[in-house]
Amino acid sequence: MRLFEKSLPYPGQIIPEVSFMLESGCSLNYCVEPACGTRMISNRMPVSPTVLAGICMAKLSRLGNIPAGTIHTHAFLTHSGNVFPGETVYFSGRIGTFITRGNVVLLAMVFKILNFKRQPVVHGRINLLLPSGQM
Amino acid sequence: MRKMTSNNFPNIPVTSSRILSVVCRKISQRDIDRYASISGDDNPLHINVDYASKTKFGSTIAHGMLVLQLVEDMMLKNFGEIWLDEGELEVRFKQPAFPGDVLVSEGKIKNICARRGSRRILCEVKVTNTEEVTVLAGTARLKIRKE
Repeated sequence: MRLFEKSLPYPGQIIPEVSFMLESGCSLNYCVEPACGTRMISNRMPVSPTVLAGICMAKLSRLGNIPAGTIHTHAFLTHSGNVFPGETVYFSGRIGTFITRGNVVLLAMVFKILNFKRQPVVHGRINLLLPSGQM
Repeated sequence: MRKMTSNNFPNIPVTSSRILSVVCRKISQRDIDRYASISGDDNPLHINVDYASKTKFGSTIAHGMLVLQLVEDMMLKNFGEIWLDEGELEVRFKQPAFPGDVLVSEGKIKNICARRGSRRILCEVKVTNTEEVTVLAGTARLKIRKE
């Protein structure tokens, strides 16, 4: 199976802003409920910041901004607010470090996620491993 | 051992070197499929058993962010909604997690410091699998402001 259909990102590449609406299925309830019975205090569940970052990364793969089939090696996430299902979020980023070693490529992407008021919700950095041998 | 004694801070029992309540969860292929459908990350390495069996992993693996969710759950369980507003997480993914693995998220408060009207809490966090191999490890930081 050919995993990478688009060209590899390059250092300094700006990931253009993507906006999308969060579906109801991605509320924090989905993730918290199965884990040892932990519950949130309020009835209206925010979306977990980790899930939010995961959704954004998947969106980028689908749009071809980053290749699919990457492996996360390092994540740095800072939360600064909540978003709820049904709200629109804005995601943008930039490719930072880009290292090729043998048949793998390591890249770091810095990103920020804003809510519908354009206030920061999550920002951080994710390191991804691209098995370039499969290209 | 220090305690947060000021009444101006939210009532969270915080002491340095305190062990955080753990969160454990068995990861099933159903969980992985569910996460894939919600996140849209339908990489065959996660959801296609035939494809994944031919890779170096020999089986499907859980999404990194799905494993990281256990740490989020643990922090939320220990610190409540403040974690969602003022949390900071830095982790390194060390090993993949496979369907059937029972993952345990553990943590320990390493340091508490006061700065500019807020308390900053530093925790060491890790997730281990059934064989007690560390799947991910790192630090979590939390800022608690005066109420």
